[in-house]
Amino acid sequence: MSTANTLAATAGGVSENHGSLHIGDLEVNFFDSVEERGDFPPIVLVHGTGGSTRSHFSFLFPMLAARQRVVAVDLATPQGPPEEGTARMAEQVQAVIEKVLPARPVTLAGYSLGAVVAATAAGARPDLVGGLVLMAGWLKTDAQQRLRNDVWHALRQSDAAALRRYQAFCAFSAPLLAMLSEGEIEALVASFRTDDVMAAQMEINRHVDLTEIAPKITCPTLIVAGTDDLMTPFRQSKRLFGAIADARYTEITSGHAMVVERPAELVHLIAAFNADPNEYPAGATLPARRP
Amino acid sequence: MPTSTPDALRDVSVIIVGAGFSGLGLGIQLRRRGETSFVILERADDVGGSWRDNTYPGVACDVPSPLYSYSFRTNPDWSRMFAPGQEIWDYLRTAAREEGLEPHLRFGADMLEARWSETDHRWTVRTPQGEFHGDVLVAATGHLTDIKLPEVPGLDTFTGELFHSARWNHDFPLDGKRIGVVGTGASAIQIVPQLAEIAERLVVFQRSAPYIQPRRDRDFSEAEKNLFRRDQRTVEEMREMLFWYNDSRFAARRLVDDFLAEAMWQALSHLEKQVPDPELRATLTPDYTIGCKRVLLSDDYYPAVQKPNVHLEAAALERVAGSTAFSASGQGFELDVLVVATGFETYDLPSSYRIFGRAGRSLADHWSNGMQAYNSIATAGFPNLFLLNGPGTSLGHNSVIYMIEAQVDHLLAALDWRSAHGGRVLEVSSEIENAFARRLDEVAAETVIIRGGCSSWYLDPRNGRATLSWPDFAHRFRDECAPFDPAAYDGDERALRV
Ligand SMILES: Cc1cc2nc3c(=O)[nH]c(=O)nc-3n(C[C@H](O)[C@H](O)[C@H](O)COP(=O)(O)OP(=O)(O)OC[C@H]3O[C@@H](n4cnc5c(N)ncnc54)[C@H](O)[C@@H]3O)c2cc1C
Repeated sequence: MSTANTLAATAGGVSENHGSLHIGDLEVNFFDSVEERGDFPPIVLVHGTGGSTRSHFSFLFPMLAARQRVVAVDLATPQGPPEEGTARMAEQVQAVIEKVLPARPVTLAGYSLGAVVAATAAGARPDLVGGLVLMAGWLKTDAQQRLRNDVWHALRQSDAAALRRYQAFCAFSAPLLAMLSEGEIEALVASFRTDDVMAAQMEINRHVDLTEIAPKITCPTLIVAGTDDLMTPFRQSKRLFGAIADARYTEITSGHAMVVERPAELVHLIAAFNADPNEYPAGATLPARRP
Repeated sequence: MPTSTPDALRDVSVIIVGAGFSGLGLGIQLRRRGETSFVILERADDVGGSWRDNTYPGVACDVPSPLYSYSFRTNPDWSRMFAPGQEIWDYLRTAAREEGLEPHLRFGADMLEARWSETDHRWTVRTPQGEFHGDVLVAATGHLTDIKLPEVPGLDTFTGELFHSARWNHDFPLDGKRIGVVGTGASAIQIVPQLAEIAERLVVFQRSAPYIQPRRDRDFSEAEKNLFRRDQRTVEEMREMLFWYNDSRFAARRLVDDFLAEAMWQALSHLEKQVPDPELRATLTPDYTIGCKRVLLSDDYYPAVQKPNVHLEAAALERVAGSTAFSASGQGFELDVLVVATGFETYDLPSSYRIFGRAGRSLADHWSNGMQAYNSIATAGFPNLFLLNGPGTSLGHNSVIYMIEAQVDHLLAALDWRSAHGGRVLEVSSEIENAFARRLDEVAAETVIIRGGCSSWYLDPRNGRATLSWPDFAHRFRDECAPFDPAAYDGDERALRV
């Protein structure tokens, strides 16, 4: 289970409370910026594979919390059949929302595996979710993704150093990696950690299938794909775009690690969506941003 | 009043004052929309604004050139990441010419006075070139444009050569001279390495040390430029990458620990790498939080101040007597030249003393508690007046051109709305203006601009307000201030987006 570090969000006028709840024998940690700012719905963030609020949302949490209340869930990884993993995680998100933000619609924003979890929660409990943001998510694990997953597991068995390099290679966009110095590449590679929790999540990733759930999602949804994403290629996001009724779609020039490569653009997209989910109609592709 | 040759543009729908990035940007958009009824009044004899006035050795932008240019006129030809000032000036001159602005430009046309007429609901601008009348007045007069000299006793009696960095005297040979540079801001740190090469002795008067990060400048190769020409999308992609990267740096300005620590590390490790002597390093270490003042980019400033012919005086210039410049520590320096790089009139704009709205009230008077404007663009009591790059637009972390373009979009929509509504007068109420300003103050209070423990040119010393700064992401300025909502001009506070 991911451990909850204290979130670096205490400065800049944003503070956060740390709480936890139990579901069965799992302890689920969450962070809450508490203060309501403006009239916008609160945003609930769900991190991706191998991540945590701290590692995936150290930018998004405090910067979004500057303008609206933000809650972020540190997912606990369930035991049991991997096919049921995302449903179990979605229950955690639902439980946190019911406890912390009862009886009000929230904007649920998930990244990577967190997007799958968020979509599952939105499909299961439409009453809790007023808006949905799916960043680098996917509809149903396909052969390309299973192939990558195979390599990941094989390297984990055989070569930990190569696994770290492979993770860096897969996570970031080619243009970003190309810009880095040798030292920066090594620092990036060294920052990757794997453990049994992540291996269990990778197993869950192999078995994702939202084809039944997606049609049950009724709230306005924003789908954000990374143009250079090798882990959840943008075509997967397009499949979500096709499968969710009230969805709009946009791409950002980034690899899978968009929360690190383009965090300010994500803040823009999420905050603008939260302020007015219907600014663009269902089926729209957002206009290109040309700053 | 001297009226010269008949001028078809004496009477127009839009009068723009100032021919820098702001005024030209608006002019280009008007031309592209087929508008012809506008005039651009410029007090100098050429376009370019900051880039015409700043010709000091080493002048260059400090936002990368692919981003520091108009989004609607990207340029594949920049010679390097941070183009020299001359190239930026050329870019603007070419833009003005190619976009058909020449017939609209009036040079030597200093706005001496602009007055709103309550009877015919129009603006009259008096200039040495005669009077101009317009429905709408746009002040694109800049806020880093009127030079500011330090109040130093005896400065005016200095017997050597003295000039401001933005009024460089190129006729005066500097080789082998004893030169003093006053200030260590953005201009000074570009100037010092250049003068260190040629001066016999160079004294740098430092009141407060700036944070300096690596510049990472580089040439663009011919192959790269060719690609930019052949595939416009490659320029745009670089622009987008630079923009969003820069915008992410706002997290440090908002004092988010991890990002603040990272910004601090980038600066202080650069200092440590470049300056081995601990004593000098201490002198060069700032005493406030990074981002409170403009963070500078340089790879050659620290090496320059370590040259044997350069002396870093860790004290402000305090007084001048004859040819001797004394620092606040009492040390005197015999000098042939004093280069004053102390910046500009920023919070109390000279142009605001020349604009008179309802009841003959001046903008300066209206702004006696600090300048402010609804959406950074419109003020109460000044109907049909729009400000470009005025209050609440300055950025420490991203390109000002982006802000200007967002304002131009708001203004174009406002003009469209006016023409669709019988030329109605657009004016905001004081309530709207104040509500907007209050919200900006609240946001700024959570940023390093207010909490960083420094006095910077972003702050109005009369009241401690950050009246010049946009205290948020640059993208949020576009999200919130570019859209035009007529309800705000009708006094509806729900139309406030910030
Ligand atoms: C040395 C220097 C480097 C800079 N580097 C950067 C950078 O890297 N990135 C960045 O984002 N910003 C930078 N800036 C800020 C820069 O000022 C803006 O980016 C931009 O150039 C402002 O354009 P502007 O048209 O608003 O104002 P200006 O360029 O100042 O133009 C205003 C014009 O109005 C004219 N004017 C003023 N008053 C009157 C009057 N009463 N009557 C008639 N005409 C008048 C002036 O003569 C001038 O031509 C820099 C500024 C300086 C000084």
